[in-house]
Amino acid sequence: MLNKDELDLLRADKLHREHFTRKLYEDAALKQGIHNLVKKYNSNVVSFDDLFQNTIVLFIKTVVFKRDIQEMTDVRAYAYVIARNRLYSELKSKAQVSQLDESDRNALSSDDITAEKLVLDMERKSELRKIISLVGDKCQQVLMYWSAGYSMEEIAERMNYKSAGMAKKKKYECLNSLLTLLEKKPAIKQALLNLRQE
Amino acid sequence: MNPLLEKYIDNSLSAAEQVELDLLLISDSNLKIEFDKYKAARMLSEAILEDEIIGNIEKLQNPVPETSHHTKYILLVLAAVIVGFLMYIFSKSSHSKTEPSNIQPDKTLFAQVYKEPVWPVERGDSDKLQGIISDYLSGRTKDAISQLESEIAMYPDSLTLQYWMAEIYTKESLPAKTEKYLSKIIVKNYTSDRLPYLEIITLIQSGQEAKALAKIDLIYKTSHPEYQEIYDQIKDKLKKG
Repeated sequence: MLNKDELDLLRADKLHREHFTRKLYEDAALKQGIHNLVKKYNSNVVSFDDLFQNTIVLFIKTVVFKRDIQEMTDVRAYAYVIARNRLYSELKSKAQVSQLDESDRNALSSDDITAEKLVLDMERKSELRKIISLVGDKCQQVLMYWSAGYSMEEIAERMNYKSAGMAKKKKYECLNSLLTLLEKKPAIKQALLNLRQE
Repeated sequence: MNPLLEKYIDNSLSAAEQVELDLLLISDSNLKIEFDKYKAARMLSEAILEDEIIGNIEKLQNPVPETSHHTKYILLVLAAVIVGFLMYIFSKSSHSKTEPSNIQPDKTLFAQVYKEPVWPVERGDSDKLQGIISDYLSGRTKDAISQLESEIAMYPDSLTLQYWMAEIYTKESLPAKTEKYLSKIIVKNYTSDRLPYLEIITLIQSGQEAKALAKIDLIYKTSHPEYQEIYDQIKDKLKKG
């Protein structure tokens, strides 16, 4: 179970996220569950490694981005549902869903935890990661909170800035550096916009 | 800049304003071009967290070979020596010899579970940081803190200075001040067993015991046995109330 304090730590602290990632990564039961899932439904659309990795990324992204989640009673079950929905959307994108019988289709898509798209799923993953690495650590944190919709007050609190004004100023500087990097890569920019439109 | 776009960039659009902006984007192509720039930047910023977690998973998939406990301590001492040398380059001042430190009264959980760091004073008094730490350990707390604060103001990017400031404030039981420096180091991903330990001590000092226990649960398995022992002690004491 994750209570409000633990969820808050995950949202606030990079080191905490690293430890939690390890915890999920080493969860043998979760690993086995996802293994079985891939074995049962997969038709070479997605590998276990990819599904397992994406499940962990989506899990933590969900916690950080959805601040209305106040408690998570069963972490493993939640992660498992993410994996299942993720697999369903992979099968759907490859037009493989029609090959499943109705009960399997319903079993895969019945929960309301949405399988969101990961930006780093894009083909140009390594280029994106390279651009990100060019932005400094502090800017990365500010922009991460900004993209998750945190207000300037919340960013100031997370980053230990004196005021929302200070957070706004820092966000402006960081965003400008990112925009400059993106302007040099129009194809990447377009690919990002297309991803959102799909 | 269009005020709605400005609000979008500041994450302060209301639901009604969002609808208004969506409608405007259909009719105003210049605004759409401008908006798309920020939209792409937002998407890329979303990938920052993904990149961080993937990086953590990659580290787990390709672990660096474990160093022995003995090697870890040698590395720690070596790090302290290197830091001392680097600080020497920036400084010319010298300081007096150390005397035994004043230990916290053994009445609180903090005092029971507090473990002194390896203070960087092994090489004598030849550099600024060592001098400051010597002053501190000699009981000249105020002077040492004020000197270290000035050093940090001069070298704001030095993780080492911030780390030792956090250590001093932890020992002084000033959790709010410890937290200030600790969070800066953690944001920069300066990882070691000592940092989560300091975080836990800070949470205990500020009365946030539930958070301290949650943090212990998360890091316990991956911590050094020496720290695991301390965490067992903390859990035991806190559970007994």
